[in-house]
Amino acid sequence: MNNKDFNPKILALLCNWCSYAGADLAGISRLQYPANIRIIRLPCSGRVNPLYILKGLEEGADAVWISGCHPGDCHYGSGNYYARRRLSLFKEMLEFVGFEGERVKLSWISASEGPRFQQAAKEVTESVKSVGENKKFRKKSMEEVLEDGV
Amino acid sequence: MVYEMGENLKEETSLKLKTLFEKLFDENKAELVIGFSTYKNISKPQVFKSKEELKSFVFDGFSSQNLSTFLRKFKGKKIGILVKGCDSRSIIALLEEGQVKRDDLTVVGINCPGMLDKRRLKSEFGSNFMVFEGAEEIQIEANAKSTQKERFEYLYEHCKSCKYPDPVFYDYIVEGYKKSKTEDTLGSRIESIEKTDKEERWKYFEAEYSKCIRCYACREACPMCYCEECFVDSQNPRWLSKNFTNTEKQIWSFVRIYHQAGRCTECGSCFASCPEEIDLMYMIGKMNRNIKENYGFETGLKPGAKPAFTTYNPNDPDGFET
Repeated sequence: MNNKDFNPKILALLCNWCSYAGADLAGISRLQYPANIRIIRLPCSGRVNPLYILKGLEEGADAVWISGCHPGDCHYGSGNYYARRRLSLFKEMLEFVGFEGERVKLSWISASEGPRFQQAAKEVTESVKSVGENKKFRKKSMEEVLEDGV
Repeated sequence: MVYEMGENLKEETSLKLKTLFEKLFDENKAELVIGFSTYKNISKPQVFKSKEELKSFVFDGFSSQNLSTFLRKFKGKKIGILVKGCDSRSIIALLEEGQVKRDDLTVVGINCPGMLDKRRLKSEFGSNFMVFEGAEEIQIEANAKSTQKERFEYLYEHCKSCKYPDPVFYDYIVEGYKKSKTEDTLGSRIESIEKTDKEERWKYFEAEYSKCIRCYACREACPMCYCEECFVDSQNPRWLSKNFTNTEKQIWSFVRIYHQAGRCTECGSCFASCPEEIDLMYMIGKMNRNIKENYGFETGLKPGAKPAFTTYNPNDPDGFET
């Protein structure tokens, strides 16, 4: 598939207090951003279980984008600090076994940063487009399983 | 001659440990003792419930299993436990996580000489072999022939790399035979894997984990795997199906390794118990090294030190943004 025709599916796990509100602001301000992003709202970026990322990728997402409050601005005080530690190690693990680390993204966007959300959404989509489809870590369809086994 | 030397050393340490544990029973310091007993010339873990049962007690080069795994099964009882370096570190980690009580434990330490790779010996000498152990050399008797080999050669890879063979935490310690040298074989293998191409690394990972039969023996053997309900057993939400696809095996491996990152003492019980001999150590080894490098934390060395993931530093590296 040509990169230009490729429309990635991106799962966005946004924190309720900052990034989700940032996305909302981008919406209200009529800022256009790529429609490749599917948003799931979570209470905090610290709520992100790495299993969610794996499950998202397995179920067909080409990338998972996690966004939370800026370090120091967490609604719960320290959730994003924990998230940062966990997710950076998680990404290192994926990269170590040869999976594309570009498929896991993390950013900090506050509730007042609508334009920044638009910018980040564009950047994430572009970089996922350049990596291409997620073929390594994806559930096989029934046809594929019948054809070449599990 | 190595024959006698090996035999004597093994018997001597076993006897010393046995008398110590008998004393614990006599002084009512322990209701049960977790140690090893003989089984087909090599040792297996056993829980001894009385002084009489201790007759079959043994400690040898095959006592590789991490005994702290069993501690949680006997909560509330007074336990005497035998520890090597890795076991003692696991106990510190378990204490830190509030899983066991210090007052219930009597910890008997032994200097670990490094554990012998049973499967390697089996593949080289057949399943009927006898090993007489020395600190430096071992003598293997199989098929009516006896061969003398360097002990270090036949150790598990993670035992060769082990930096803490002596217990870091104990109430009593028995002088055993000390480990002669340390070579970071696991670390250098991780480095060489790291240098290879991304596709090659993925191929290796895929090939290793496609062998998995999801028996979860690694989970059962691991002292740090103690969730009341493991995510693979959970029915609601149901994370993994009963299917046998590669991605599900990979999810299992990723999540298990990730959960152990920075808590694992590299005792190798998971690897030793894996029926498919999957290379489990290279991933967890890498994770432990990363945690040490990034956050300066190594598990089970200092009582009271906070595990890397239960704390944070506002100045943690932030090189991860889009």
